[in-house]
Amino acid sequence: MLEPASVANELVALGLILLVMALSALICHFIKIAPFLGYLVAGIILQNFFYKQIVFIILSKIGVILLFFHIGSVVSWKGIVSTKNLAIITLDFLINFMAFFIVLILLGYPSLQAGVIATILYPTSSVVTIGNLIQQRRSGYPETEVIVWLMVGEDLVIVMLMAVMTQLGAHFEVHNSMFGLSFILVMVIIGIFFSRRLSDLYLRIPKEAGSLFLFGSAFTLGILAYKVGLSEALGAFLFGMWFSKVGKIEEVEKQLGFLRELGVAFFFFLFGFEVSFKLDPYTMALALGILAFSIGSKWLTGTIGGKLVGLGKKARRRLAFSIWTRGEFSMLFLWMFSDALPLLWFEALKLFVILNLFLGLIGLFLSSKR
Amino acid sequence: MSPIKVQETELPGIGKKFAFSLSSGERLVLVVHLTGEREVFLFRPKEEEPCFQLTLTDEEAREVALILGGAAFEPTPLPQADMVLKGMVIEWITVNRGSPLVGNSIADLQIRKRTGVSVIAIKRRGEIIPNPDPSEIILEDDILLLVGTGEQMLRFRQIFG
Repeated sequence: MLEPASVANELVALGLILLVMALSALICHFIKIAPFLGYLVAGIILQNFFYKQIVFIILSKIGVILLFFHIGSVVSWKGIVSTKNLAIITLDFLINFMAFFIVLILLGYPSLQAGVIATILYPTSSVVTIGNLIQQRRSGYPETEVIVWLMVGEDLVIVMLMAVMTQLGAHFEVHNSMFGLSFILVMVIIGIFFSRRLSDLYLRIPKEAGSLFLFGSAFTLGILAYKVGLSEALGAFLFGMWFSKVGKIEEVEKQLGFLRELGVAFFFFLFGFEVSFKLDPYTMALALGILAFSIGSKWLTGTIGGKLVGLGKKARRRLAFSIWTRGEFSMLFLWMFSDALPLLWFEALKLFVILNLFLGLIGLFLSSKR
Repeated sequence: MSPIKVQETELPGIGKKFAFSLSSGERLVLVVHLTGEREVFLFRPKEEEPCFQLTLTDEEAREVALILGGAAFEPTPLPQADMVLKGMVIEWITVNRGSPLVGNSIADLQIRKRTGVSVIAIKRRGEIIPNPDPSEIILEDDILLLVGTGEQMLRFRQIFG
């Protein structure tokens, strides 16, 4: 059992960390960027002054679970399958995942390693990108609609890739495909046939119990998914899909929004807190190489995709600059599949993710230039 | 007069976007954020950057909507087709804790008799109750959809606000 004095010390440390995070969010607000970069920097700075507490891990896990629950709950298949959205989502997948995957396979990498690396390189960060669009007051710009739907499409592809990769058995000791696939199947069936009833039932639950019900269910199903060889994020996503038909997402959002933001903030903080760089020439060369290729491929996606959906020249340029950033999903995959990656790639991808988050800011700055 | 065609688009993670072309050829884009904040953008013809941009809080937006809707002052006569609604205001009112409305039915409160305003719907925990029964009890956090003249709305606010 913990001594009261040590509990008090941990709480003081947590309080101080929260204050530093609040300060970094404030700075980000003034320089008009999403706060998550501030949390990441706060983590990098504070790793020398504090030790890692279990509560950081729990909060960041809560953040990941609630983030994927949120993604599942806002999924709009109708929006995704609209011709122009589907066109740019497909183009993005072909250029930013398939191209890397095929090159790596041709270079002789095993399919799992190639898949994990291509998955880390593939997604633009929806949390950071949408956060930045809001901060920069660009929600009404013509390209914003394309960007957010592209992000939704990427989020879905990421969930599918996560299901495939975990089944390929990179990280988990228990990987019984039958259990995993049965879990997905049952969750999808409930989502299709009982979603409306379950959502109606939820709306009848008194407000004070509603958030606990949602949080408890998302967490339990997330961990259940982990136990059957999937990932907690996938379980939470499938549970979130049960709420996607109702169109009353603002109710759910009101109840879990704060907790999700706190958890996601700790996810970024913890990544910064744990990150250490091995800056040898090979790692740096590989990181800079993949950085150049990935920025080029996203630029291509924005330019060609923008034309495909009928955006003008300026909006296309803004789109191409806005989708550089890699963030939470790349970090998550890096964490989940670190064992599957060769050390050189692991170190280079870590550097790549951090550099890309900051270079993404340059992209955003350029996108706001007239 | 041809009806204005409003293009409505979902912006996942942000909110909802409403866009329409004005008779001047400019394009007006309104974004209602999930947080309740509203953003207004005005684009000149063929331009891809707004020439005007404004951010409003939820409360400010409702106030502006009332004024733009002619609740406070109506300078020009409305076309014949709109005469039925002339002078009418539709407004959403949130029932806060401690409001005299809480815990009473519409009939008990005699809302229409005392103010002239009609409760045409109640939004409760995300669900809409259209044409609520007079026996419907009003709860805290309910959002009432009211219809009446600007004057009647004012009376409602004086009595129940």
